[in-house]
Amino acid sequence: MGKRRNQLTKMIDDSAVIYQVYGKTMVVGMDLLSKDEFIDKITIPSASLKNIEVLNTKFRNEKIIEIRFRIKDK
Amino acid sequence: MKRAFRILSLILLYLLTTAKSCNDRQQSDAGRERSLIETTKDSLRNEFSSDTISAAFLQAMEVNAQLKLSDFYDYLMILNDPSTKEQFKSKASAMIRNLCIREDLTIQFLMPGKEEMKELTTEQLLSKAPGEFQIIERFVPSSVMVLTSFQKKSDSLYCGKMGFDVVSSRSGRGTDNFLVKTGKTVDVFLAKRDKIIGGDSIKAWTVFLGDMKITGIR
Repeated sequence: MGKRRNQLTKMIDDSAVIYQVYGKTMVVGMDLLSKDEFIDKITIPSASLKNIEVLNTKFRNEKIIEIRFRIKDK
Repeated sequence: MKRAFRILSLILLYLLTTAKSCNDRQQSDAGRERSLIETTKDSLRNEFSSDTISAAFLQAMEVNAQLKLSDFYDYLMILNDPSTKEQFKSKASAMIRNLCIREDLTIQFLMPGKEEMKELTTEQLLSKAPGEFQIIERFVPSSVMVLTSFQKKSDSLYCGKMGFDVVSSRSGRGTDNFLVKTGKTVDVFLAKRDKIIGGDSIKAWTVFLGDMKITGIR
Protein backbone atom coordinates (compact mmCIF):
# COMPACT_ATOMS: atom_id res chain seq x y z
CA MET A 1 0.00 0.00 0.00
CA GLY A 2 2.86 2.40 0.90
CA LYS A 3 4.53 2.26 -2.52
CA ARG A 4 1.31 2.91 -4.45
CA ARG A 5 0.27 5.59 -2.00
CA ASN A 6 3.60 7.35 -2.54
CA GLN A 7 3.21 7.12 -6.33
CA LEU A 8 -0.24 8.70 -6.15
CA THR A 9 0.89 11.36 -3.67
CA LYS A 10 3.58 12.42 -6.14
CA MET A 11 1.27 12.27 -9.19
CA ILE A 12 -1.57 14.32 -7.70
CA ASP A 13 -1.06 18.00 -7.02
CA ASP A 14 -1.80 19.18 -3.47
CA SER A 15 -4.26 21.69 -4.87
CA ALA A 16 -6.07 19.14 -7.09
CA VAL A 17 -9.84 19.29 -7.28
CA ILE A 18 -11.22 15.76 -7.00
CA TYR A 19 -14.88 15.00 -7.34
CA GLN A 20 -17.01 11.92 -7.51
CA VAL A 21 -20.19 12.03 -9.56
CA TYR A 22 -23.20 9.77 -9.05
CA GLY A 23 -25.77 8.60 -11.52
CA LYS A 24 -26.17 6.04 -14.29
CA THR A 25 -26.95 8.18 -17.30
CA MET A 26 -27.08 11.64 -15.78
CA VAL A 27 -25.33 13.19 -12.82
CA VAL A 28 -27.66 13.12 -9.82
CA GLY A 29 -25.13 13.82 -7.13
CA MET A 30 -21.60 14.86 -6.44
CA ASP A 31 -19.08 14.74 -3.65
CA LEU A 32 -15.84 16.61 -3.17
CA LEU A 33 -12.86 14.67 -1.95
CA SER A 34 -9.57 15.81 -0.54
CA LYS A 35 -6.41 14.34 -2.08
CA ASP A 36 -5.95 12.05 0.93
CA GLU A 37 -9.56 10.84 0.80
CA PHE A 38 -9.19 9.95 -2.89
CA ILE A 39 -5.91 8.12 -2.32
CA ASP A 40 -7.49 6.23 0.59
CA LYS A 41 -10.41 5.25 -1.65
CA ILE A 42 -8.28 3.79 -4.41
CA THR A 43 -5.65 2.10 -2.27
CA ILE A 44 -7.97 0.10 -0.05
CA PRO A 45 -9.11 -3.30 -1.43
CA SER A 46 -12.83 -2.59 -1.18
CA ALA A 47 -15.56 -4.19 -3.27
CA SER A 48 -16.24 -0.84 -4.97
CA LEU A 49 -12.63 -0.47 -6.15
CA LYS A 50 -13.30 -2.60 -9.22
CA ASN A 51 -16.19 -0.31 -10.15
CA ILE A 52 -14.25 2.94 -10.03
CA GLU A 53 -14.21 4.66 -13.40
CA VAL A 54 -11.98 7.69 -13.89
CA LEU A 55 -13.97 9.95 -16.23
CA ASN A 56 -11.55 12.79 -16.67
CA THR A 57 -8.16 14.01 -15.51
CA LYS A 58 -6.42 17.31 -16.10
CA PHE A 59 -2.70 17.91 -15.75
CA ARG A 60 -0.46 20.87 -15.07
CA ASN A 61 3.31 20.59 -14.88
CA GLU A 62 2.96 16.81 -15.17
CA LYS A 63 0.83 16.64 -12.03
CA ILE A 64 -2.87 15.86 -11.85
CA ILE A 65 -4.86 18.95 -10.90
CA GLU A 66 -8.38 17.67 -11.53
CA ILE A 67 -9.95 14.22 -11.33
CA ARG A 68 -13.56 13.38 -12.02
CA PHE A 69 -14.60 9.82 -11.30
CA ARG A 70 -17.60 7.68 -10.55
CA ILE A 71 -18.34 4.30 -9.09
CA LYS A 72 -20.28 2.27 -11.61
CA ASP A 73 -23.40 0.55 -10.33
CA LYS A 74 -22.83 -3.11 -9.59
CA MET B 1 -6.47 -9.03 -2.71
CA LYS B 2 -4.38 -9.67 -5.86
CA ARG B 3 -7.38 -8.60 -7.92
CA ALA B 4 -7.64 -5.35 -6.00
CA PHE B 5 -3.96 -4.65 -6.71
CA ARG B 6 -4.48 -5.38 -10.40
CA ILE B 7 -7.40 -2.95 -10.49
CA LEU B 8 -5.40 -0.29 -8.68
CA SER B 9 -2.52 -0.84 -11.11
CA LEU B 10 -4.95 -0.32 -14.01
CA ILE B 11 -6.18 2.95 -12.49
CA LEU B 12 -2.56 4.08 -12.03
CA LEU B 13 -1.80 3.07 -15.62
CA TYR B 14 -4.81 5.06 -16.83
CA LEU B 15 -3.70 8.14 -14.92
CA LEU B 16 -0.16 7.80 -16.27
CA THR B 17 -1.10 7.10 -19.89
CA THR B 18 -3.52 10.01 -20.05
CA ALA B 19 -0.74 12.38 -18.93
CA LYS B 20 -0.05 14.82 -21.75
CA SER B 21 3.46 15.59 -22.92
CA CYS B 22 4.63 19.19 -23.22
CA ASN B 23 4.22 20.89 -26.59
CA ASP B 24 3.54 24.37 -27.96
CA ARG B 25 -0.18 23.91 -28.42
CA GLN B 26 -0.56 22.62 -24.93
CA GLN B 27 1.29 25.64 -23.59
CA SER B 28 -0.98 28.00 -25.50
CA ASP B 29 -4.02 26.19 -24.11
CA ALA B 30 -2.65 26.09 -20.61
CA GLY B 31 -3.95 29.51 -19.62
CA ARG B 32 -7.47 28.74 -20.81
CA GLU B 33 -7.48 25.36 -19.10
CA ARG B 34 -6.14 26.88 -15.91
CA SER B 35 -8.94 29.41 -15.94
CA LEU B 36 -11.53 26.66 -16.57
CA ILE B 37 -10.21 24.63 -13.68
CA GLU B 38 -10.25 27.65 -11.37
CA THR B 39 -13.87 28.28 -12.40
CA THR B 40 -14.80 24.65 -11.68
CA LYS B 41 -12.97 24.83 -8.37
CA ASP B 42 -14.73 28.06 -7.36
CA SER B 43 -18.12 26.78 -8.44
CA LEU B 44 -17.72 23.53 -6.48
CA ARG B 45 -16.40 25.39 -3.46
CA ASN B 46 -19.34 27.79 -3.55
CA GLU B 47 -21.86 24.97 -3.86
CA PHE B 48 -20.39 22.93 -1.02
CA SER B 49 -19.70 25.81 1.36
CA SER B 50 -22.78 27.96 0.72
CA ASP B 51 -24.91 28.92 3.73
CA THR B 52 -28.09 28.46 1.71
CA ILE B 53 -28.83 25.00 0.37
CA SER B 54 -31.03 24.31 -2.63
CA ALA B 55 -33.55 21.44 -2.78
CA ALA B 56 -31.51 19.94 -5.64
CA PHE B 57 -28.36 19.99 -3.51
CA LEU B 58 -30.20 18.26 -0.64
CA GLN B 59 -31.44 15.56 -3.03
CA ALA B 60 -27.90 15.10 -4.35
CA MET B 61 -26.70 14.71 -0.76
CA GLU B 62 -29.30 11.99 -0.17
CA VAL B 63 -27.70 10.06 -3.03
CA ASN B 64 -24.34 10.80 -1.42
CA ALA B 65 -25.64 9.30 1.86
CA GLN B 66 -26.56 6.06 0.06
CA LEU B 67 -23.02 5.82 -1.27
CA LYS B 68 -21.57 6.48 2.20
CA LEU B 69 -23.69 3.63 3.55
CA SER B 70 -22.39 1.36 0.79
CA ASP B 71 -18.82 2.44 1.67
CA PHE B 72 -19.50 1.66 5.34
CA TYR B 73 -20.39 -1.95 4.50
CA ASP B 74 -17.46 -2.22 2.06
CA TYR B 75 -15.00 -1.19 4.76
CA LEU B 76 -16.71 -3.41 7.33
CA MET B 77 -16.18 -6.32 4.95
CA ILE B 78 -12.43 -5.52 4.87
CA LEU B 79 -12.35 -5.46 8.69
CA ASN B 80 -14.00 -8.86 8.85
CA ASP B 81 -11.97 -10.56 6.13
CA PRO B 82 -9.41 -12.78 7.84
CA SER B 83 -7.19 -12.76 4.73
CA THR B 84 -6.85 -8.96 4.69
CA LYS B 85 -3.57 -7.50 5.91
CA GLU B 86 -3.59 -5.57 9.18
CA GLN B 87 -2.54 -2.30 7.50
CA PHE B 88 -5.66 -2.38 5.31
CA LYS B 89 -7.85 -3.21 8.31
CA SER B 90 -6.40 -0.29 10.19
CA LYS B 91 -7.09 2.01 7.23
CA ALA B 92 -10.64 0.62 6.85
CA SER B 93 -11.19 1.32 10.53
CA ALA B 94 -10.10 4.94 10.13
CA MET B 95 -12.30 5.30 7.05
CA ILE B 96 -15.35 3.98 8.93
CA ARG B 97 -14.65 6.52 11.70
CA ASN B 98 -14.59 9.28 9.08
CA LEU B 99 -18.01 8.22 7.82
CA CYS B 100 -19.63 8.48 11.25
CA ILE B 101 -20.97 11.68 12.77
CA ARG B 102 -19.52 10.76 16.18
CA GLU B 103 -17.62 7.90 17.83
CA ASP B 104 -20.36 6.64 20.13
CA LEU B 105 -22.96 5.69 17.53
CA THR B 106 -25.22 2.76 18.32
CA ILE B 107 -25.05 0.10 15.65
CA GLN B 108 -27.28 -2.96 15.79
CA PHE B 109 -26.32 -6.23 14.11
CA LEU B 110 -27.63 -9.74 14.06
CA MET B 111 -25.15 -12.16 15.64
CA PRO B 112 -23.75 -14.46 12.95
CA GLY B 113 -25.67 -17.70 12.78
CA LYS B 114 -28.19 -16.64 15.42
CA GLU B 115 -31.43 -14.73 15.63
CA GLU B 116 -29.90 -12.63 18.36
CA MET B 117 -29.30 -8.90 18.12
CA LYS B 118 -26.05 -7.28 19.20
CA GLU B 119 -25.71 -3.59 19.89
CA LEU B 120 -22.30 -2.01 19.62
CA THR B 121 -20.90 1.49 19.65
CA THR B 122 -18.68 2.43 16.73
CA GLU B 123 -15.65 2.22 19.03
CA GLN B 124 -16.60 -1.28 20.22
CA LEU B 125 -17.17 -2.35 16.64
CA LEU B 126 -13.79 -1.10 15.50
CA SER B 127 -11.79 -2.22 18.50
CA LYS B 128 -13.07 -5.79 18.74
CA ALA B 129 -10.23 -8.24 19.25
CA PRO B 130 -9.27 -10.77 16.57
CA GLY B 131 -11.26 -13.96 17.05
CA GLU B 132 -14.35 -12.17 18.33
CA PHE B 133 -17.50 -12.67 16.31
CA GLN B 134 -17.49 -11.47 12.72
CA ILE B 135 -20.18 -9.29 11.26
CA ILE B 136 -20.92 -10.63 7.83
CA GLU B 137 -23.81 -8.67 6.41
CA ARG B 138 -24.14 -7.88 2.75
CA PHE B 139 -25.63 -4.49 2.03
CA VAL B 140 -28.43 -4.43 -0.56
CA PRO B 141 -28.01 -1.11 -2.46
CA SER B 142 -31.35 -1.41 -4.29
CA SER B 143 -33.20 -1.55 -0.97
CA VAL B 144 -32.29 1.97 0.16
CA MET B 145 -35.18 4.36 0.60
CA VAL B 146 -35.38 7.81 2.09
CA LEU B 147 -37.66 7.67 5.13
CA THR B 148 -37.15 11.28 6.18
CA SER B 149 -35.56 13.82 3.86
CA PHE B 150 -32.86 16.10 5.24
CA GLN B 151 -34.46 18.58 7.65
CA LYS B 152 -32.66 21.69 8.84
CA LYS B 153 -31.66 21.53 12.52
CA SER B 154 -29.28 24.48 12.58
CA ASP B 155 -27.29 26.64 10.17
CA SER B 156 -24.67 23.91 9.94
CA LEU B 157 -26.68 20.71 10.40
CA TYR B 158 -29.41 18.81 8.55
CA CYS B 159 -30.77 15.40 9.67
CA GLY B 160 -32.62 12.65 7.85
CA LYS B 161 -33.32 8.92 7.99
CA MET B 162 -33.01 6.09 5.49
CA GLY B 163 -34.19 2.51 5.43
CA PHE B 164 -32.24 -0.37 3.87
CA ASP B 165 -31.79 -4.13 3.93
CA VAL B 166 -28.82 -6.34 4.62
CA VAL B 167 -28.55 -10.05 3.89
CA SER B 168 -26.71 -12.51 6.08
CA SER B 169 -26.30 -16.25 6.21
CA ARG B 170 -27.90 -18.31 9.00
CA SER B 171 -27.47 -21.96 9.87
CA GLY B 172 -30.49 -24.11 9.27
CA ARG B 173 -31.21 -27.66 10.38
CA GLY B 174 -28.37 -30.00 9.58
CA THR B 175 -25.68 -28.35 7.48
CA ASP B 176 -27.96 -26.19 5.36
CA ASN B 177 -27.50 -22.44 5.46
CA PHE B 178 -30.15 -19.96 4.44
CA LEU B 179 -30.20 -16.25 3.84
CA VAL B 180 -31.95 -13.84 6.15
CA LYS B 181 -32.89 -10.35 5.11
CA THR B 182 -32.77 -7.77 7.89
CA GLY B 183 -34.43 -4.37 7.61
CA LYS B 184 -32.52 -1.49 9.16
CA THR B 185 -32.65 2.27 9.50
CA VAL B 186 -29.76 4.70 9.57
CA ASP B 187 -29.78 8.32 10.68
CA VAL B 188 -28.04 10.52 8.14
CA PHE B 189 -26.54 13.96 8.68
CA LEU B 190 -25.40 16.77 6.47
CA ALA B 191 -22.97 18.88 8.46
CA LYS B 192 -20.49 21.60 7.71
CA ARG B 193 -16.99 20.41 8.49
CA ASP B 194 -13.48 21.61 7.70
CA LYS B 195 -12.24 19.99 4.52
CA ILE B 196 -9.11 20.44 2.40
CA ILE B 197 -10.37 21.12 -1.11
CA GLY B 198 -8.09 22.25 -3.89
CA GLY B 199 -5.34 22.89 -1.36
CA ASP B 200 -7.50 25.20 0.80
CA SER B 201 -9.33 24.44 4.01
CA ILE B 202 -13.02 25.31 3.72
CA LYS B 203 -16.13 24.54 5.72
CA ALA B 204 -17.90 22.17 3.33
CA TRP B 205 -21.20 20.31 3.58
CA THR B 206 -20.36 16.67 4.24
CA VAL B 207 -22.62 13.64 4.69
CA PHE B 208 -22.20 11.49 7.80
CA LEU B 209 -23.88 8.34 9.08
CA GLY B 210 -25.55 8.02 12.47
CA ASP B 211 -27.18 5.29 14.58
CA MET B 212 -28.20 2.10 12.75
CA LYS B 213 -31.14 0.12 14.09
CA ILE B 214 -32.77 -3.15 13.14
CA THR B 215 -36.43 -2.77 12.22
CA GLY B 216 -37.29 -6.33 11.27
CA ILE B 217 -36.11 -9.74 10.09
CA ARG B 218 -37.60 -11.21 6.95
